[in-house]
Amino acid sequence: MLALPEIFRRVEPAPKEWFEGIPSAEPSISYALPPLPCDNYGDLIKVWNQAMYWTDSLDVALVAMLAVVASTKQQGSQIWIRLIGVAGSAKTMLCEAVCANGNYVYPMSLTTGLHSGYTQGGEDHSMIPRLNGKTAVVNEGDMLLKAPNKEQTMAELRDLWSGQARCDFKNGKHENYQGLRITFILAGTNTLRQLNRSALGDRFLDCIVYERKRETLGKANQHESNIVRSAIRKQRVRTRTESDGKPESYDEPSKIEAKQRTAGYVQYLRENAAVLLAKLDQELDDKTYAKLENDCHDLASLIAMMRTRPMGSGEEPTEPELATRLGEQVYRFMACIAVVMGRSMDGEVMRRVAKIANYTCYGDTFEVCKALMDKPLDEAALAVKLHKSQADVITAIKTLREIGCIQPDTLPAVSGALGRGRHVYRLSPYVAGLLVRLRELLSLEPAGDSLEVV
Amino acid sequence: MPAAAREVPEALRPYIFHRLNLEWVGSSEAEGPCVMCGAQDRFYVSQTTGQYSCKHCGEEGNIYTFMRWMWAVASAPPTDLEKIAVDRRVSVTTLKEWGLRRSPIDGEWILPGYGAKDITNLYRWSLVKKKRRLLCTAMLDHCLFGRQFWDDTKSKAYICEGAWDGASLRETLMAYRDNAGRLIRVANPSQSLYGEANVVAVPGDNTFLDSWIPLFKDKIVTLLFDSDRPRTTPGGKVVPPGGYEGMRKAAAKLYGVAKQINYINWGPHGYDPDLPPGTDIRDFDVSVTRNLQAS
Repeated sequence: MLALPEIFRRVEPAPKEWFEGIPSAEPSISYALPPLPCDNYGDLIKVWNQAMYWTDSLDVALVAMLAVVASTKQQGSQIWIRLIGVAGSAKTMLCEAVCANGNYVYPMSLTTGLHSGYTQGGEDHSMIPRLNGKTAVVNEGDMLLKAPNKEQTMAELRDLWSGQARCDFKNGKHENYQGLRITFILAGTNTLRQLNRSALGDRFLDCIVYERKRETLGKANQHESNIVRSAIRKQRVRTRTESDGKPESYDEPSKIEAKQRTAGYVQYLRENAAVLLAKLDQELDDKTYAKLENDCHDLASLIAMMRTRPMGSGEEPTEPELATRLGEQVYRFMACIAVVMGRSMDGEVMRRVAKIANYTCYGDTFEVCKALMDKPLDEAALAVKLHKSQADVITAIKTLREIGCIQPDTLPAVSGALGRGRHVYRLSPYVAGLLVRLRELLSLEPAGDSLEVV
Repeated sequence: MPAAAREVPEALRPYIFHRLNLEWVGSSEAEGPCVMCGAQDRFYVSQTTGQYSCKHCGEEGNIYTFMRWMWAVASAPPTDLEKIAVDRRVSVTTLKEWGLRRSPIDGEWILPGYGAKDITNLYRWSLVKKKRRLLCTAMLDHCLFGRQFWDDTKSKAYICEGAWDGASLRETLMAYRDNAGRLIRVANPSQSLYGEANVVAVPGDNTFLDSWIPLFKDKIVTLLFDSDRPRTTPGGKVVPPGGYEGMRKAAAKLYGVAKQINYINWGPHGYDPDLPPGTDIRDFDVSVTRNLQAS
């Protein structure tokens, strides 16, 4: 190409009128940080260790989020998770890291619903086509519960979970989407538990980023102190450094790199999930599969019972859901966690699945069942042990009795005392067995590359 | 009934595009002979997920792994490449570097398109209305040609229209350095014009995916699309020059991301009336060289 100088002589800066009306500068967050290559979970965790005080809870949360991303295109019930944590627990940081890959993750707000209500020139401006095939991440899930169109959005989400969405636009057009594959990560505080009452909560598995134990409230907590001190130390360095308003300099380099590597790992998972999952299944022998099936069955059955909520009027019988959907979700989640961590479906993977199951079972009914594992108790003793009001305990007991998880019993009167025996409650043997299995799975040692257990 | 005459399920379209012989009526899985091991009717493709597996050789994967396999086993006979090199006005070495090979399935020319790390598309260079065109694999996103050579440490980027323009420009930049407007031949590409510039090419003047934008962050970008003439549609509507409009739209997307955006100014109306319609930088090179020789 000897005419190169001639070509270059014709090169000029682009005319200014080409850019009239275009808002200047800041690209949207999905393009702000280009992903950096990452195809190994161990390498990703090393980067996070550099970036912040990395705990086992954060590790479990990140793995769960990446497993949701990896599961997006796989057949079967979709996996949606709620990422629950108090303010300052780094859930926003994790969400931003996963959202840094705009090809496969879509950060969104639910305050305006999923459909705009308008179609113009044949184009559909709803979010559905943009979400299809991606993981939607809602960073401020609490806003959903405060939105004026909350009921409409929740109805749209219930449909979406089944892979469908319908919309009638204000100009008479109608769209009917089928076969959608959209996974969800909904992050927020404990307020998100209110979704349990809306028949939307049972679409989600839960993951807690940081949870304070009740007995530590108001007391010095060494673990929490370590987290806060680590943040203060990092801020000391950042205070000396000025940001130039660009995404790369918003935070310290180690955190920026952690986000970029996470985005790169999201890319790797989405491009390779199908092959890795197939390989994982191929390597499974019948004996191991039978054991895993039992564990998934037990966890799913436990979740189904523990998140049973009484019917509104109190007259219809309370029934737990049939755990078919949960069983599918738990198994798929387990397989995807194994792929994310680059492991087989071993004890460490099961520990994490058990943790998610443990978080998902959250509620008064679960607390009562756990309290009854050691010995039968009456309402008053349960209320004291659980630091709850007796009214709450009685409501939970009523639900548990209706679904057969606990049975009333009478303990003989204390030797030498007169009067009737004590009325107590004890766990049914079946539920006791499920809880024992959960405890066994939770007590498995964390893998060497996870940090301290929270 | 031939595949083209029936509605092809979406998940199977990429495989049919590459001329796999599949039957899918009445089953959730399409079935056909395995092109990898030659076994008859042992190759299955799921109509839902698009994943394939062969029950004979055990190979399995998705369309990406299939395309990567196709390209890996494809070959390019030297005599064929020489003819293409003359036709496309690039060297055989350049054609090999860009990966032009013959499909192992039907012998058609295939050119890989790369993502950040590996092949994510395989274009067929097929005859369409008596002219060879690069056709994107059905259902997959377009790629930026030359992406496999991208070096993020370079401060400049040239964006050409069409893979052949990109290949030709890269070849030239690697062989020369600029000395006050005169081209001096160099042996070391790191000391050449290519040492400070990436060269990529869009598949067409109207294709610039949003996912490509981050690549050009803080780069000095130069758009080198074709000198197309405006045309009038059968309905009487005047369509602006495609190359000029393509550069304008690409520039608008890169605004605020690239450090500086330049373009090739063919003329005040977006084209050079003294050049044939659709002149690209390779054609321009030929005409300038001929003019120099004639004078």
